[in-house]
Amino acid sequence: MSDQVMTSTRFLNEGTKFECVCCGQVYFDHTGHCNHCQAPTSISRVVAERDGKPKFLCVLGASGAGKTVYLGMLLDMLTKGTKGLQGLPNNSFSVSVQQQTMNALERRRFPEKTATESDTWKWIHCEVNYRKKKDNFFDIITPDFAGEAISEELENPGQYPAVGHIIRRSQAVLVLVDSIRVRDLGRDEDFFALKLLSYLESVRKPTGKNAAKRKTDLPVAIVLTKSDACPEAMQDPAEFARHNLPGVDQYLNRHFNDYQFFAVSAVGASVSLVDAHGRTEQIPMHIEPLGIVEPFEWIIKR
Amino acid sequence: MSFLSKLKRKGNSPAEPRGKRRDSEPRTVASVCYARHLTDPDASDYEITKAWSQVEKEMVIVAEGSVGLASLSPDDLDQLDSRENSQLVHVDAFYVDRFAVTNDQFQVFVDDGGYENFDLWPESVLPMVLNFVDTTGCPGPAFWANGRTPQGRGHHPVVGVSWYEAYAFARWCGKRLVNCAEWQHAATWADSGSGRHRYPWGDSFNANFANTWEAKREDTVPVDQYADGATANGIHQMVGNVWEWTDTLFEAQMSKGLRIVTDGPMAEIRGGAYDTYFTSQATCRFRSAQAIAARHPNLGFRLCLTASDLCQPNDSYAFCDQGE
Repeated sequence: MSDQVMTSTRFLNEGTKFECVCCGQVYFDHTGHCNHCQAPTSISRVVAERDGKPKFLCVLGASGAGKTVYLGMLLDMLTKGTKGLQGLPNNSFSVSVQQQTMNALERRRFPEKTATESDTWKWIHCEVNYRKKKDNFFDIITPDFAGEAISEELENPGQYPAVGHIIRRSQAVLVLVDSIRVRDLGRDEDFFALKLLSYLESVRKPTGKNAAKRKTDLPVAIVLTKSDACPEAMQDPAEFARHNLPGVDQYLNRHFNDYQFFAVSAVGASVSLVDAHGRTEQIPMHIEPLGIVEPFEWIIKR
Repeated sequence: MSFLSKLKRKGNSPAEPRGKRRDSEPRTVASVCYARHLTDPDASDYEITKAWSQVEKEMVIVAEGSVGLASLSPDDLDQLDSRENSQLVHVDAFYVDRFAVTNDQFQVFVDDGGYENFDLWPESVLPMVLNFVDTTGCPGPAFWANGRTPQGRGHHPVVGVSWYEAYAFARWCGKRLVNCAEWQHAATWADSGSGRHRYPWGDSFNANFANTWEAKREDTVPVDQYADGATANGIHQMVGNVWEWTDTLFEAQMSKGLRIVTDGPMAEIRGGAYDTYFTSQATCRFRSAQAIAARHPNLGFRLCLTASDLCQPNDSYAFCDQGE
């Protein structure tokens, strides 16, 4: 009895040694997450216990671009099974993102804004099986980044190390861009996405022979969100991007080998709720996802 | 006996799905606009009697009664089941279409010059009518081409029509759009008791009874499919397949300093569609809205007639006298 108590006390004091799945740092677990990049230990543990390397997928975008809605919706659709894909959330954080997003949308609200503090980010880990083949599976591992943190990291690289580490390990990147803001609010979205792409390129720069002449191999899906209210984007995302995101279009063409534009939406119609102080909140009247899985499917085929 | 004939005996042939409505004759103006005679004081007994026989075939009577509409107050918009805050509304007896208006029926309207007949459209939207064109620029629903119904979709509900197009079609054929209280009354009237079920068939969702996201078809189906999900008195697809325009403008109330603002006029839509994700948003009580100029691939309509407005034949044997 006394031995058992001593054993558990020893583990409590020293923790268990883990290699972080995100940044690769070896650490003793005391807090449940890596002390460098804040990736949850539970994900590192699951990946360590399983054969095969995890495949990361990174979802980036400015604040308010719709990352949480997109990820929550994607997880829920994959869990239900769609287009030959079947997902299984592998940790409680993933279920939380799914649950909070779905609960909010079903009750005609958008989920709360993701906090900037990296230790509060919900890390998603979903194992996805493709076409029901036993070995044909991969993981989506990505934190639900706060847009402000991405913005900070672009300005001061290293501020949020998880962003860089995830991009370094990702098999593909989804860059979410708010199509309504692109259409209605000038070039700001274009500039932000441009900075993001330039950051991606700096992190995933080709190395070796003729590196300077080669384009980056990282597949990039530019996902135009909220396109239910921007039919121009829905009709032809690439054409819309050519005219409204000229910087992004040219940069991708010049620096990336493999990219594609997509238009997605989760909402069928929306109205605005205005309070006595003039604060406005968008209300989704009903939910009809459109194009959510397509960027993901495109990435799988890469 | 061949496999196909065995299927046919069971009524499950792919060519003849169970409950499918068979139209032996092609759609004509007379066969779509029969209701005109029922409100025309100059109609003959023969015309009225013939129109009544069409009504009995294509429509269902819904008796007068009261129906509890969910509140659209800003405080209640997030309620999944708002029976408690519902507002009781009286509905007079009316006849409602068994099926949503189909592409075949809308084709007759297009061929009859419905888009060029400005008497059918509200004057304020006449400039907009020029923009109601199909993929090739011809007048017609948004997803048609060359003013024609897409091949093989004659029995699918017409979609890609704005509220104005639905309104014009209704005027042309002598009927009117269903208002939101009538729509809900029609969807739930046939079930007994005061509770009123969430779905035409009961309180639990069943993916075999309605074409929503759960059915994973990702498209419309013919209006007579999912016959098991029809109301007890035979109104099909009140839930799923396509949202339906109603004759009710979306007017959310203000509450506690909160107000709802829309980009433009919206009309209420009901029933959910093939891409409605939450089953709680494809119920008989769920109220949503859409911009009235929207021409979406999941939005159609069905029509009705107020029972008390309809002419009765003076001579009930008139139909027989004409040798029919």
